[in-house]
Parts: sequence; C-alpha cells; structure tokens
Amino acid sequence: MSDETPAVVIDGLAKRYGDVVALDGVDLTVPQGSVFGFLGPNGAGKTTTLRILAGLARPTSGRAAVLGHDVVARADTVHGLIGYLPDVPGFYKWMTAENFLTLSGRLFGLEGAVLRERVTALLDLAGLTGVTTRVGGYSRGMKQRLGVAQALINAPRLLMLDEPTSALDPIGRRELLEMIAGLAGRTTVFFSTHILADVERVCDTVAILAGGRVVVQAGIDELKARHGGGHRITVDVDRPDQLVEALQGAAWLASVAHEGRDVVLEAPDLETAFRELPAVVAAQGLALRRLEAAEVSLEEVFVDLVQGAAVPAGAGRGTT
Amino acid sequence: MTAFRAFVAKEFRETRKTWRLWVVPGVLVFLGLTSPVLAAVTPALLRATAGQSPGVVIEVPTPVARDAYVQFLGDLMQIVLLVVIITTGAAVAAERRAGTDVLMLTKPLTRDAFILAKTVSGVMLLAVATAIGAAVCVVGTVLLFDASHVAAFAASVGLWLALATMFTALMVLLSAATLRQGSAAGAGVTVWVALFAMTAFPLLRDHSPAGLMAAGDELLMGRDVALAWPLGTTLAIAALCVAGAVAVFRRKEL
Repeated sequence: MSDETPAVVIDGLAKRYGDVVALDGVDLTVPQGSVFGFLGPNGAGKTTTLRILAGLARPTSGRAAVLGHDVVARADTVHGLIGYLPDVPGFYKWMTAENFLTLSGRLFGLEGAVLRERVTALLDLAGLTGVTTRVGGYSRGMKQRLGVAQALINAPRLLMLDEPTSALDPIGRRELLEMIAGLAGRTTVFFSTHILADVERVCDTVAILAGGRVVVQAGIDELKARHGGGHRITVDVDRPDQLVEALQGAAWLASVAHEGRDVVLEAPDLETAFRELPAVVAAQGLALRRLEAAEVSLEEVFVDLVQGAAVPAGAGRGTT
Repeated sequence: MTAFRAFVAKEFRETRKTWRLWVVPGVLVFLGLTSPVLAAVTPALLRATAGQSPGVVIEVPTPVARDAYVQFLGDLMQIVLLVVIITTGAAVAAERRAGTDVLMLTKPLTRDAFILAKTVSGVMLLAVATAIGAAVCVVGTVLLFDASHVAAFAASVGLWLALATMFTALMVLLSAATLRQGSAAGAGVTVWVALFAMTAFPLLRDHSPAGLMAAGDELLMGRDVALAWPLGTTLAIAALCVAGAVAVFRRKEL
C-alpha cells in the first residue's frame, strides 16, 4: 500500500439501530501521518464510527477503508495494521500489565526478544514498570494508560483512540498528549474526543461530527480562519450601539455584535482591524476605554458548527 | 493460527489463575474421592438406620466395585453436566460483559478462532479434569474393593465425555447467541432436562444423545449397547453447535 493511500477513507457511512440514526452519511478522509482529532458532542456518533473502523460493528450502508482495506471484507487484514483503544477498555482482572501486553504481542505473532523489548518499553511508556498488582486493582487512569500501551504493541500504522484522555488526571493527560504528539509523522493517530483543548494541543487536522454527519473537516488553523473569522476583538466604548451601527458592512470584519457592555468583532486579519477600528471610533467621537484581541478558539468554532448542524430525526440518541 | 494458540494458552492460564480451576476439576476430583467411599459405607448407613426402627428389616447387598463406578457416573450425568452448563454459559458472555473481547478481537484473532479456542479449551479442560477425577475414583475403588470393571468404567466415562463435549459446544453456541450467561445456562438446562425426558422413550433414546445417558450403566452391567446412533448424533450435534456458534458470532456487534 503506497504512502499516498489515506489512513482512513469513509464514504457515505450510515448506521441505524432500529429507528435510531447513529450515523447519517459520514464522509471523511484521514491522511497518513496525521494526528487527526475526531470531535463531536456526546452521542454524535464518534464511538460508532470507531467501532465500525475496528470491525466491531457493521455499517448499515456506505463503506469504510483503513489503509486501503475495506473494514468489512478485509477485517482480518485491518486488525493487523491498527491499534485500538475503546472508551472503556476491558482487561482480564487476573493478569498483570506485563501479562496483558505479552498476550497482546503474541496475538500479533511477536515472540522472544522482540516481544520482551517491546513489552518493557511500553510498560515504561505507560508508567507501569515494576507494578505487579493485577489489573483488577488498577485505577481507571492506570487502565487507560495500559490501554494505550496495548494498542501500540504492534507498532500500528493507524492508532485509533476513543476518548483516550477522559479518565486521566491532568498529569496523565499531559503525558498521553505528549506521547500522541510524539507519534506525529511516524504513524497516523485518529482519536475521538469532546475535549477541545486536547485537540488544539496535538492535532493537525480535525473533523467535527454532529447529528451523525461530519459538518467540517480541515486543519485547525484553516478551520479557525474559515469559520471563526480568525480573531476575536472586544471593544469597550461609551456608546456601543453607535459603534455597532457604524461598523455594519465593514469589509475587514467577519461579524460584529453587541454583547453586554462590549462590542465583539470577528476579523480575519488583526493588523487591518487594529488600523481601521480606532479610525472608526475616532470618526464617531466615541471614547475608547478598552481594546482586547484574542484568537478565536476551537471551542467557539465547535459550538457554532455543532449548533448550526442540522440534526436528523432520531440522531444522537441511544448508543453511539 | 498463532493468535489461536496464544488465546488457547490464555484460556488455560485463566483456568489456573481463577475460580475456574476449582469448579469443574474440583468437583470431578471431589466426586472421584467420594464415590467409592459412599458406595462402601452406604449399606452400613442403611443398616444402621433400619436398626433404629423396630420391625424394619432392610436387605442390602454387599457393595462391589461396580457400585462405586455407578455412583460416579450418576454424578457425572447430573451434577457435573449441570456445572458444565452453568460455567460454559459464561464462555463468550463473560468476555462480552467485561469488554475483554473487544481488545482481543481488534487484533489478529479472528472471531472464528475466538469461538474455536473457547470450545477447544473447554473440551480439553473437561477431558483432563474427567481423566483425573475418574483416575481418583478408580484408585479409591481398587483400594476399597477390587480391580474389576475398570475397562467398562473407562468406556462409560469416555461416552460421558462425548456427551459433555456436545454440551460444551452447545453452551458456547448459546453463550455466543445470547451474550448472557444466565440466558445461556437456562436454555442449556432446558436441553439437559429434555434429554433426560427422552430416555423414557426407547425410540428417541436409541437414536439420540439421550442414549448415552443410560449407556454407561448398561456397559457396567456387562450388557451390549448399540452406540452408533447415540454417539453419532452426539458428535454431529456438537459439530453443528460449533459451526452455529461461529456463524452467530461472526454477525454479532460488539
């Protein structure tokens, strides 16, 4: 399979549970080598998509391929190429972390020195070296770290993680995100989350899923520029209504609104805004008390897109 | 094949490390120990009971080695089969409940191999445990009685093992189909009761696995038993159950 083959291609993927629509025609392409954030509110269909990609569930219609292999017809091939961590990983309680990693490696045909080295390295990565307690006695964070380690045992070409940081404390979360960031360029990481800060921190590309559909897929910077107008400027003047009226239709603005005592602007280019805005304030004879600029956050883009998405009947209910 | 072997090894290790070691093997060894003792002391107990009631006379024949084996076989048909039904009902269901199947089946362990590994390991565990339990029973019987009927007993235990293999395959199928241990065990017990009921009807008994339920005692009594139909249908049903379990589990959403 050539390096140009996308890590994941999803085409018109739909999944229904009776009358409940979990996925309603998802289209998505994940390039190889990317750290891809799969964002969406709870119940959007993220887990269902990942379960289909992992061969655990079947699509009602549409198709999905991992590294060029159809996930339904070639599930066995796909399983040799991926590492998968479900949202709540289940382990054999009687095993130690080392036992579980060794079993995982053997399922991939690893043996001898190669297996031992990999298990040792992954125990270290998961912070579980020397932990002889059985998995049944682990905290949720320890299980999550072991889950990531077992997903890496085969040095996968596609690492799929479902809400990997949700059970971790701040330090564990930071370590995991650093580990994911460290995999950039070496393998493809496809992880679902609703924690936007995680995505902003490590992802180069995101897709936002809402109501069983992908509402947008883009690089993070492109997404902010395209959907957020780039920068958010907060202005405090003595007569905000007058400023809002004066700014209506300005070509350098994406939007303008009166929020409380402030006027809030979204502008694609900050320098142009800083040049033009004071001129308008002066021309209107207004007193400028405060002017603050900030980048539009992914959270604002996310909320705008999710709230704007058309939600099909029945979507987002039940197990998704 | 590598993944299959690794998963079967995990099943054996799990048996050693968990309660599973103490259930089927434990029960079989316990019954192997107690069957000869019970056969030896039961007449004395009955006589003692009769002695407490004036006028009551109980004629009890002197116990022989065959009594110990009949006792053990009766327990195999009832107690041990029920234990097999209940424990094997968890074969797939327990992995589903714990979510462990997801981490196994997203690796190069196919669903077919998962089901086959569950069946093979279950039957192998049963075979080893039965051999140990039967050996303990033979040793106890030889010590307390004599060395007669050992060959007929071994053949009877072999026939029971064929029946238990069928129940193991059936329970893997039911566990895969329902994904619930309770539902699977309930259905398994229903089949077990139905088979017992079929032994009352000669035509059904002689042409179905029910024939194996009575065959052991007949062999120990030195009578000829027609085994082709009972054994053939038992093994055929076992094979069908394995094929059915594979087909059902392939379609399951996990």
